[in-house]
Amino acid sequence: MKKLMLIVSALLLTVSLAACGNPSSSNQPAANTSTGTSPSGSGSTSAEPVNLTFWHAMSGTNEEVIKQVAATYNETIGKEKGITITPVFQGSYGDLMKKVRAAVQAKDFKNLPDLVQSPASDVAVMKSIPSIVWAQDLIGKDSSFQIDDLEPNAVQTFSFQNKIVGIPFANSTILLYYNKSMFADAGLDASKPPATIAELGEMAARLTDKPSKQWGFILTPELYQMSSWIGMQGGFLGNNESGRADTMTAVEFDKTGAMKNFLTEWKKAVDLGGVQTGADANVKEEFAAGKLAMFVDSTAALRGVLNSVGDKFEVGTAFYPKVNASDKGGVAVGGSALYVMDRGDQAKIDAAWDYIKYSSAPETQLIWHQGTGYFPVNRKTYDLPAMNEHLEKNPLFKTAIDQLHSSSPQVQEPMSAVNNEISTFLKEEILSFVLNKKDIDTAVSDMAAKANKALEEYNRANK
Amino acid sequence: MRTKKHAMEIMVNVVSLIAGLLVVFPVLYSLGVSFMSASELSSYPPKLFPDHAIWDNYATVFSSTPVIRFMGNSFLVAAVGTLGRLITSSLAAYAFSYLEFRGKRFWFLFILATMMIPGDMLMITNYMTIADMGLIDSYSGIIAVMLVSATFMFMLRQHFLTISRDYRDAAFVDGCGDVRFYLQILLPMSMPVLSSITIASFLGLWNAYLWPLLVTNSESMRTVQVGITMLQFPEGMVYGPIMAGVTVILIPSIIVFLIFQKQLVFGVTSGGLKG
Repeated sequence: MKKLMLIVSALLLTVSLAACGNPSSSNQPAANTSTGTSPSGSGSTSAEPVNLTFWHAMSGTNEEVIKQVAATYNETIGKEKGITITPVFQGSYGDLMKKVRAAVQAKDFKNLPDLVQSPASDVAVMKSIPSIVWAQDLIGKDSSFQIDDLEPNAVQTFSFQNKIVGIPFANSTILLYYNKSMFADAGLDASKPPATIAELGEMAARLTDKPSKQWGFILTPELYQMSSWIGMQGGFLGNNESGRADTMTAVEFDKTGAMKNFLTEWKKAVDLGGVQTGADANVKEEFAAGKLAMFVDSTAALRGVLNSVGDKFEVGTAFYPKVNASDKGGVAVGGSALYVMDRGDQAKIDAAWDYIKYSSAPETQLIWHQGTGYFPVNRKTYDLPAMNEHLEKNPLFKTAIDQLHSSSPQVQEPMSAVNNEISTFLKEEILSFVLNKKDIDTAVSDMAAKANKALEEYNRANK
Repeated sequence: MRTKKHAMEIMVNVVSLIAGLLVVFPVLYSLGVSFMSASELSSYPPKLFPDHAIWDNYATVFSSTPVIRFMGNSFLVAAVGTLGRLITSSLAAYAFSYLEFRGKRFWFLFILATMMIPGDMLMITNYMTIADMGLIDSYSGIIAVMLVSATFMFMLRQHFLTISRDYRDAAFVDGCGDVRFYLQILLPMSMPVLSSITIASFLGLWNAYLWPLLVTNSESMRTVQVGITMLQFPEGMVYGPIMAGVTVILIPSIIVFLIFQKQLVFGVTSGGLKG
């Protein structure tokens, strides 16, 4: 008995010590108390030099471009205005978010960055962080910034209730990649890639050669693909305009019939035998190895795909296949945006805003596009002669850009903080229907019920 | 009888060889990939080793990341952290196995209980503590939470308990004090355990990812595992430079292992109480 008491008391003390973090409320920033009477821009040469920190998640060659852009800024405009920006790579988007959250929770404003890069899928999370200064407020104080120049699809991605939270920085959409040589070998016209899921299924069947482990198409649809396949049919994936008019509380794809349409088409395609689904496959590797004729992925993967294919065969790019031939919505925009953080120093906020303006300018976006493969977020970029020259030389990139320009800004990934969960539910239920484990109505109602429950739980806990 | 033993020996060797190959295969493959071009890597059928070894991937590692700096940082963190753990856990283990004091059992259980709290759960609280101390983005900040380890303390205490108390009694009769017995008799006798702790701790700290990522903000403070992610391409599939980076940062771990493994084997064969 005594022994038990000893163990219990030791455990209790440990737990209480461990749980007793020190949430001391030291140096709170002057949150939004500054009314922003003086946006920088005029005679700021006399002001003290401002050092900005910029956390991003771009690695490899993309990081080199970020560094190059920042260095150019520091040498030109930055030098004039006394602003120096230091970009720091902070791991993947997920890791970067953990760091931001840790610093916000610890109220460690000294170590927060001034600028953060965050992906489209995390807007719902970013807008709930109190230290984020909404870009809408900054635009309101600065008449020199023309938001109409930016791609409306991307602006909509990062907006909530028509207020923009972060300024788009790198754009991408989903795109169909195909192997032209394999099309020719199978007797298909390589200049006519599939336009609908039905055509995709037929062509995939002709491109498949199972004895030599060669597939026409490989995909296990998740939220990323479904955002476009549901959105292009006209409706929204979730209520309140998929979370952009107000907090999303339930999904809508079950009521509009969009999911059922998709499932019917998708199952027909899979049943023709040329589509592999449900297995984990590294599509880009299979494609580069000549064992896969078609796949869909982000447009930002284009450069990497071209590099790994080398001169083994000719790569083609095409619009993302439609569910019904009459669909007009197009595809959802992915990519990332830059957010300004309030660290209690108005001079830094102004400087960070100045850098954002620089990074979304047409010339900067051209450098960014050529270096990384992300689309320019600024429409004025297409007026530059260098851009037209570049697109003529690289017609594969042009397909991607044309697709974006023919897409409706209303087609978006849902703005919810439980996108990962919803993605898993969609994936599981779509599979169980395609593999004949559930009938179509049960699959649709099950995925809607699960998604609604996840949304409800999150919304209840985060009022 | 002899042939049976012989057959048995061959069997054991064959099984060991297969197990060894299985373990070493990923390392060999990453070495092979580190010399391949992107297009060769994705050829079909897959190759284990390149036809023409290229050094471009290594050039990328050294030109696009300050990998030497990362290795220096990791080495400092792993070495100081391991040394700290050896000192704190051996001293604590000594107290818990040889000394008598009030609440000894309670404190022992108290320390053991900390092992049950997952490290990830403490990440944010630790961050807040380190932030309050103003140690973010410093070596002290990375190392501070790594200086003690309940697991290693427990391992050492269990080991000390297996050493007969007769050694201590005999040493005390000859005029030895606690400090001298600890330094000159107990620690040398515990070399195998200390070596295995050193290896485990060094590898663990060398490979630490999330904590160093959280507390460091500038590129020059990064450790190797965080640094190596700079070579990843979010949307691409350029494994060559990553594998080259992995190969480079593997070398120090192997060296540390080789040095202390000798001690490990030596200790196992020479240890134990004789009479």
